[in-house]
Amino acid sequence: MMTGMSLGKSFESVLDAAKLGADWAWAVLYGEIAGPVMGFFRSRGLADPEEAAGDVFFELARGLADFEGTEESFRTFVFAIAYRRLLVENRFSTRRSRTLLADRVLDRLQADVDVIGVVSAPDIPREVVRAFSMLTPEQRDVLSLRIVAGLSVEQVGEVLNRGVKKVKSLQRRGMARVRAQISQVDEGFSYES
Amino acid sequence: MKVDTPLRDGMWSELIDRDLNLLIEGKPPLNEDLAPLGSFVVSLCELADVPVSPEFVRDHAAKAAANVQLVKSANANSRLTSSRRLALALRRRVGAAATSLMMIVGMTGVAWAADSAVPGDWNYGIDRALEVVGIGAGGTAERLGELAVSRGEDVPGKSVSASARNPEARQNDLSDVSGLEHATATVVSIGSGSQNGNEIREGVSRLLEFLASIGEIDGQAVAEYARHLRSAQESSDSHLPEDAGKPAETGKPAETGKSG
Repeated sequence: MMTGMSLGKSFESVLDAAKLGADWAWAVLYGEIAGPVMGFFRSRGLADPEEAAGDVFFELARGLADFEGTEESFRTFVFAIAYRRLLVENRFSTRRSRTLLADRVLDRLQADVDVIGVVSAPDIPREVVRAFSMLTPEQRDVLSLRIVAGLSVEQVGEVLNRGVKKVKSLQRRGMARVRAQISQVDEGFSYES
Repeated sequence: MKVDTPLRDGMWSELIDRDLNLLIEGKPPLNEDLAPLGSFVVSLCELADVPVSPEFVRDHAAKAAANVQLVKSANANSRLTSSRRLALALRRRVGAAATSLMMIVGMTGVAWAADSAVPGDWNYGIDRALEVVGIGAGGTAERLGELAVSRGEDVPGKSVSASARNPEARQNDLSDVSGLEHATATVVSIGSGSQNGNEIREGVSRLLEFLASIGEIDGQAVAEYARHLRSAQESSDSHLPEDAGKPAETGKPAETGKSG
């Protein structure tokens, strides 16, 4: 279930090689993080997750020389870049995102909700999209980073520049809201549709 | 929107984070009421499981590797520029330090050579002049005190050099020695007007240069030079009080402008 990296002991040598500009090392790192990064962007409704992921990798390549740390902290580093990219996207493309998502999501949900930053993957069950759309942006941030990116509470706190207590609170309240939405659906509904 | 939920109010505040962590890790929660959230978590996790094409990875890996090389190259150039800048600054400072050192060595050498001069020697005037400003013997403060006394402003506890004690007696005596001494006193008075020891040393340095340029010690010429120094200083330093540093008269130390 967790989407954490699994390079283990080889991480250090891969990182060193990537810092030297070795193609193979970057391919290994991308193989580990590209999926979660793009999944994170999908969960936040970006129209072009691949393009956003490319931007993240570009920034990563620029800043990797200054990075020192473990595999876990590397993941935090990557998603801190991804989160900044998301903020930039939201800031400069609000109108475009609103239009795209309004067309795509509101038609499906037929509900007057804030749809900025909700799941954009077409194969996700609509009830999940609906439940996610009912969360506040902060709750979406936390749940996306916790579930999709596979970060710990502490790592999420670092990425969002929030305390652990606040992250836990947002996680609890977000999950409570999702649970409440689930209770509203018809009996017999299955998310595994 | 009011949400109708079978969960008791306050249940979520009691929910331990452990259950949520179990859910997120894909394990069944201890509280059965949370079990339906498992499907939600699975659906979100699937977003990250979308396979990434090898072409995408290869393409971006190559770009990133090239980008790293670019950054390294830029950093190297930046370091090179910095080192060049540092080298230039260092060269400039070393040059300035060397010049200062040469001046100090030169002046010290002159002072050392003149220190043992006796009346009649070519450098006796320099010896006396340097004594006035405290180079080679005594300190600047002490010499300034001597000059103050020479102007009738007695400074208790300070020794007074014989040459400064009775300048009136040498009013018309423009021998080489007294001319030099007078010129040096003028330099001191200029410097003491601004309370700046560096100006005194600079003035002495210019005086020595002048002496070197004329090739021999000529009391009249030195006195003239002192007057020139005084007038140049006054024209460039108009902010001094009106009574500060009147032009030096022949054979007479200049006014310093200091009030006793």
